[in-house]
Amino acid sequence: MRSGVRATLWAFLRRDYVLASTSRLAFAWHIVAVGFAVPTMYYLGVLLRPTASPHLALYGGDYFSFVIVGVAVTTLCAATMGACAAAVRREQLQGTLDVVLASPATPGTLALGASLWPAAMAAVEFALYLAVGAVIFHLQIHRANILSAGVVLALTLGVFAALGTLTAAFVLATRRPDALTGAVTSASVLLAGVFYPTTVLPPAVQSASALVPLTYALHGLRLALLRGDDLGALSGDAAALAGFLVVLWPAAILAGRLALVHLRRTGPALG
Amino acid sequence: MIRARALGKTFGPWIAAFGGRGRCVRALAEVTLDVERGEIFGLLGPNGAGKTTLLRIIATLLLPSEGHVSVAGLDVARDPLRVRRVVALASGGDHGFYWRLSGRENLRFFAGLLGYDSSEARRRASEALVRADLGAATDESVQRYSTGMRQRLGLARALLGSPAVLLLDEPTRSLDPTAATNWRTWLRTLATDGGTTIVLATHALDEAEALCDRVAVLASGRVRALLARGDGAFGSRYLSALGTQA
Repeated sequence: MRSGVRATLWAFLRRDYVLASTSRLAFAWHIVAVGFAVPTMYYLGVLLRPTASPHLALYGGDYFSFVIVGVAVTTLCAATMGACAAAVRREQLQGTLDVVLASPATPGTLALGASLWPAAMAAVEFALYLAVGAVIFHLQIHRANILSAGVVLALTLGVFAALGTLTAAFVLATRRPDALTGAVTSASVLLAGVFYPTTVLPPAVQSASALVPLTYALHGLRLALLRGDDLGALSGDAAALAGFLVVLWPAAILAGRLALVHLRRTGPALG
Repeated sequence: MIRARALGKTFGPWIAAFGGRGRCVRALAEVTLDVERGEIFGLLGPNGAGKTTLLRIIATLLLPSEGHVSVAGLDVARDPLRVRRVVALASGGDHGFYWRLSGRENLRFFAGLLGYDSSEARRRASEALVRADLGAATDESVQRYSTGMRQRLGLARALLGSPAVLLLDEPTRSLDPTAATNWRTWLRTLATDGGTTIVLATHALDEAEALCDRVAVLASGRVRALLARGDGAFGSRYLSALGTQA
């Protein structure tokens, strides 16, 4: 029996699970990496504790809590953005892209399906950062407002999924590796305040950070998780992220369509 | 079932499409064809004749530059998703699989892409593997398959959705004679009993003559001749269509 979109998404999830289970070491390494990163951030926080910067006062003054949320959210955003492009590139190199594109599934379903497993793994990593931080290193998230954090996180993932679609369109059309995810992530780490509040940046650079979606994501999620701010208090960050969504998704859909038309005009998926 | 009218395809640098400089390659020119339901139609010609390009246009993987093609009344350029429910393409190469997955897992995934739920995908994958004589290697990873086994897996994949139109690009290239003969018999049954329309691109004159109801001889992107089975002197007519001596 044909059940359409659900069956196609399940097929992707199942395929990627089976592929991942053939290289369990890579999965284990993700867990180990979190196990190393969290204590590193904790002891950096211990080092900075006696001289806690007034810049951190807005977030409760604890550097460890500030930075672990920053790293966890940035990891999730980078994975969300890079998932579809990485999948497209893998299919190009394996020679399976043509077969996948020749299926009757819509391009949107294919993009979503290809992103499901990496996004799920990134979500596990995100949760692990917070869980290890909370259980072992006393990350202060007991006041977290789950509803407002969830809304800001959903908006954030929507923005980065749109950026990911743009990136995948670039990989599809140019048949080149993804150069955008690394560039956007690096610029965001500098400008959005992953390791430090944006208030420490020079005023001109702070203006630039206002153009980066991750700035609003980090600010909103830190306030929701560390202070328990409600949606009303986070309306500025939520509105900015919604603005990015409104601008980026039409551009992403247009880029995806143009890339597919370009591919159908110019020939094999990897020339 | 398939109608092509004044079909043309030109490949070239993107800038050339806008009138700029760049070398263009005209892969197809003024191809007009009709393939009937249940017919096995051959595309015969030397390398670079345009056979694969024509198959890829019918499979919606390429857009024509001129003219149009329809499959079961659906335009391949304007309605690709619906055409893909009717058409399946099997390329002759042994690529196009997830090499770390088994043959069964590969086919289950591709059946899922066709929209079949998990149990139906499993059933169709098992059936197709048996049909492809891969029953003993079902759970082996594809990287352990021989070239011929991967080619049979490609044919099995094309049959997963019971397509009304089967496009085959050199389907028996890497098969041993026995396997090739078995496949030809099976394809004939599919067309005769199942009403499946089959378009087959091949270099092999004997394969085209043995299997196809009609054959279009392609050279430099143009149809040079249309030959029908039983016309006689198939080989010499093919060579004469290409402008060479027997």
